[in-house]
Amino acid sequence: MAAAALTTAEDYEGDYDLDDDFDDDEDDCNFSSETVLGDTVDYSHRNISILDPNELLTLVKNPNRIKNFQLNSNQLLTLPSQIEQFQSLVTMELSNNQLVQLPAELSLLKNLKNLYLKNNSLDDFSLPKELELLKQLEVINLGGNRLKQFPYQLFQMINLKEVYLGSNQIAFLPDLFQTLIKVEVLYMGGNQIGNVPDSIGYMRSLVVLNLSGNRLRTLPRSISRLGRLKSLSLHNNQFSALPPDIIRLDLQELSLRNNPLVVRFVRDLTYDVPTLKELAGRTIKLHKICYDDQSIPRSLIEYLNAAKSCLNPKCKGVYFESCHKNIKFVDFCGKFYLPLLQFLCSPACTSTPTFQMTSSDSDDNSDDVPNKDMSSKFKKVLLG
Amino acid sequence: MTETLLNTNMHDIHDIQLIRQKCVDNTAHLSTHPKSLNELIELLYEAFATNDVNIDYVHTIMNNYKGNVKEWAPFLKFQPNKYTRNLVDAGNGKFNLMILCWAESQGSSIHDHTNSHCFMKCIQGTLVETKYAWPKDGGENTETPMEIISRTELKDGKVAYINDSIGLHRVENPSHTDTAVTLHLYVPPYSHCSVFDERTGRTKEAHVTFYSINGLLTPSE
Repeated sequence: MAAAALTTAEDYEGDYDLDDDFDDDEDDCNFSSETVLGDTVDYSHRNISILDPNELLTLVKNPNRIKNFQLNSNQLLTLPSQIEQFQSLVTMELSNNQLVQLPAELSLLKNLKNLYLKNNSLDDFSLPKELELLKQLEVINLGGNRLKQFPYQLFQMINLKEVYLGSNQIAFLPDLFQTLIKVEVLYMGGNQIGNVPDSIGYMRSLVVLNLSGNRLRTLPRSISRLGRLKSLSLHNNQFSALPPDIIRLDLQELSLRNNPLVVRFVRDLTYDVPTLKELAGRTIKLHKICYDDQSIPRSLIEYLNAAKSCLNPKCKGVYFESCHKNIKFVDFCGKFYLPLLQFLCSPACTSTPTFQMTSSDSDDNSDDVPNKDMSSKFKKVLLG
Repeated sequence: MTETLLNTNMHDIHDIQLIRQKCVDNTAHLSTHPKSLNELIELLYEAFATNDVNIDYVHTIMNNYKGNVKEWAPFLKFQPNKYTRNLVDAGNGKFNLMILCWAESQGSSIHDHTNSHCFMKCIQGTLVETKYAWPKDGGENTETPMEIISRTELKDGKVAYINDSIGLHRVENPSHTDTAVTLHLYVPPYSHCSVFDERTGRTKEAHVTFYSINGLLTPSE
């Protein structure tokens, strides 16, 4: 696909640190006249561990005119509060330092759109609460830090387009993603995430979702609502099967390597015998028996309303807690058979015996699997 | 190696010289330390001038070439969904020199090299190369997980070499924060290869394309 297809392509190219080659033998120069060029201040690769505000403001006569501040690849631990004077700042490049704390004054930069904080020593306490005031922020890169929690401030930054949180220690994602409706790129690779919350389905602008290198075994069904999602990275996780909703997505790239994907059916897929309550509930729903709060307790009404439909379209049945997990192999773009996990109300709902690998026979068309139309849609999906 | 011959007439010397020419290294006069990307390309054209290609020499200059980011800039094109292949020089059809750009966590499928030599030099970041054994041919329906032969890390200009007799491989950028860039040389070039499913050993043919040629994006399909 050409670069024009994804708006983030240009941002990606800008990410490349042009000073960063392995053949590096730069002089250890300090603040020279080349430092300030137009609306850009370049203090990168200067070996500085403290940004002296007096020196800075001596050299930069009009800090309020500066739009671009490059401070990457130094040894900075923090920033001085005088950073507040750079009121026109659009891009702040602080990657590859040793930052342990950000000043609250950073939140006063009302024009800041791009904040790069990659490869520092930031933990959950390093980000001031005030950061949530950066409501015009579009790109934030916090990759390669020491975050154990997803920074709550990000949920307030409603104009965010790209969020990079790779290589941290985040184990839990709060169910608050519904505010991030403009986010196009969400990079969460290399953390310890065990579960993706439902609210991810509200991220309707999402084009690229990277969940590689985590501890995921499943995805929420709401993933099928991400109509603009083109790239889904699930490699290096614990998926043994995939949710069938994945078929509804219009993906160009799906990475699945290094997952314990089931190759053959496991004959002893357990099926917990349903409770009497469940069986009664199923019967009521199947026979469309009327119920209301005059006839049964409120709690049972809620229970009955929570019935889930069996995925087998031929079956009108429902299930509550007890369901049969069936693994159906689907030929993905004519390449490989991938296991999709289906929730059915009973083993009888599978159209083919569980120990056979499905092939393109007539049974396939009746089930919730891609027909010829869909598999041509996935022709360009790159797997493996 | 030099030798002085005595007591021979002119006729014999001419024949001997002809024979010598075939044995003598036809790259001996060439530099082994290209100082720029353009010089590397020039030396490659020289090395490929005849049909006798000295593969050791090619490996040497790939290894010794250092280069810098400014030279590679026109070919550094990253995409968020897949690594990109950017042709640098088509080598008159005898070789292909290209730069591959791997954004964070991007990796290739397991693939072969269609009877070509493949040199891969890491010029930015870190790559992990996992080599796999060819699946044993057990017939159409057998499914056996593929066997890993080795896993090596490539960085700081290191060159990896592979061809079909050595095995298959997968290349990945293991970093979740930094990009990686590799310089590839294929001798001869190829446009199709086979990709393999790690879990089953099943294979399928794949068409190999360029994201850009000489710095210009190729039209999308």
